[in-house]
Order: sequence, then C-alpha cells, then structure tokens
Amino acid sequence: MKGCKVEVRFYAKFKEELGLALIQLELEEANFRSFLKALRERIGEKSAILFRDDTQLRDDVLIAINEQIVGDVKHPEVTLNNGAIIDIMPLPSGG
Amino acid sequence: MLAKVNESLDSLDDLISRIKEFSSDIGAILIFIGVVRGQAKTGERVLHLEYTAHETLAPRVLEKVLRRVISKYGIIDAIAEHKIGRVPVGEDIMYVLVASRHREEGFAALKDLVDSIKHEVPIWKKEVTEQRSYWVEGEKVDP
Repeated sequence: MKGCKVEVRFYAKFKEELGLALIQLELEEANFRSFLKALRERIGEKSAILFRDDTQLRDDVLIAINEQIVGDVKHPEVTLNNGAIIDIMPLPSGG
Repeated sequence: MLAKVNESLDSLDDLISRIKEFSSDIGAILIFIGVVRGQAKTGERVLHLEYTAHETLAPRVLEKVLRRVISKYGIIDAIAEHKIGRVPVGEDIMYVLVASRHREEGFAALKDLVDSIKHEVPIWKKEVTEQRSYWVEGEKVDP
C-alpha cells in the first residue's frame, strides 16, 4: 500500500503536555496503524501521554479524522487520504 | 434551534424571547445556567476557569446534540450557548434552554442536554486556583 502525508493537530492538555500544536507526518502506509506508528516515533519518550501500549491509544484520547469524531472506531485498517487532518483531543470537560 | 460556542453569551432575556417566538404550543421553558463555582472539588479556592474548544467541531457537535435531544423527547425547541476563554468566579458559562408542551419532557430533555454537552462537545476546561492550574479530566461515557 502506498504511503501518504497527514497533518496532526493537538488540543488542550495534549497540546500543552506534548508541547506540540501542529505536526506533519509521513506514513509508510495510508492507514491508521501506520499513523499510530509514526506518531509514537515522533513523540518518543512522551508517548505514554497518548499511548497505553505499543499499538493502542489510551481510552482518554479522542480522535477526529477530517473533522469527523471517530469515537472508538480506531481500527488499524481505516484508510487515510493524503493530506488528512487528524485531531488529537482529550475527552470533553466543558460545562 | 441555536447552538453557539463563543467568547460571550447572548442575553438570557433575548434567548427566552427567541425561543418563545418559535411556537404558540409552548407550555414550559426550562433553563439551565452554568456558573463558575468558587471552590474546586479538591477544596482549593478557584480564581477563574479557562475554556478552550475545537473551533469548528464544537459548534457542529453541539448542534447535533440539540437535534438528537429535540427528536428524542419530542420537545418544541432548544438553545445551547457555551462560553470560551477566561471566565471568573460567579460568571455564567453556559445557557441551555428547552421549550416543551409540558414540563415532564422538558425536565428530562434539559438534563440529557446538559449531560451530553459536558460529555460530547469538544470543549475543555482548565481550573486556575490560588495554588495551581490544571486541566479538568473529562469522563468517558458509554454510548
């Protein structure tokens, strides 16, 4: 499968703790598994902020792909388009 | 219906007038006003709260929540506004208004709306107390 480039935006607590607002990642394959691998490599020693193990995000990480919240549907084979925007957000705490 | 995430809230009087105009079948208007509390759950004295939101997703999800609750309870109309930015103690954070034919479905819809807004709309709160500041953790809710 061909790779792709994605844009990753971080919000609130994650933006502060990771010290990142926006990054671009180049993926080996255009799917969610490859995205997680690239993200984990990029944030390195801070990966425990987002990851519970080598391949899975923590339960308190909310993901939107191209401004659609994907909830628990973070299947590794979900395809990503070139230029996809992936938002990494904490669980809402408004009100 | 009105869903708004903004640095200021509209006047409550204006929102009541607006929702009343929607239908002559309205028999009850129920209102929730969220206010910044002066004491954190830890007991610390709160100075202010700082709200941030996903600029495009927050109003869209808020509108989706309103549509779902209006349909679920058969209420006539609903409005929800949430403030972002720095909000001092005692100031209003959120207005939620529900217009219904009868109070029973109105109360149920209002509770559902307030809970859903807190758990689903991508808005985040940082509590600033006399000692420190920290992000308030959201709760994971099963659908």
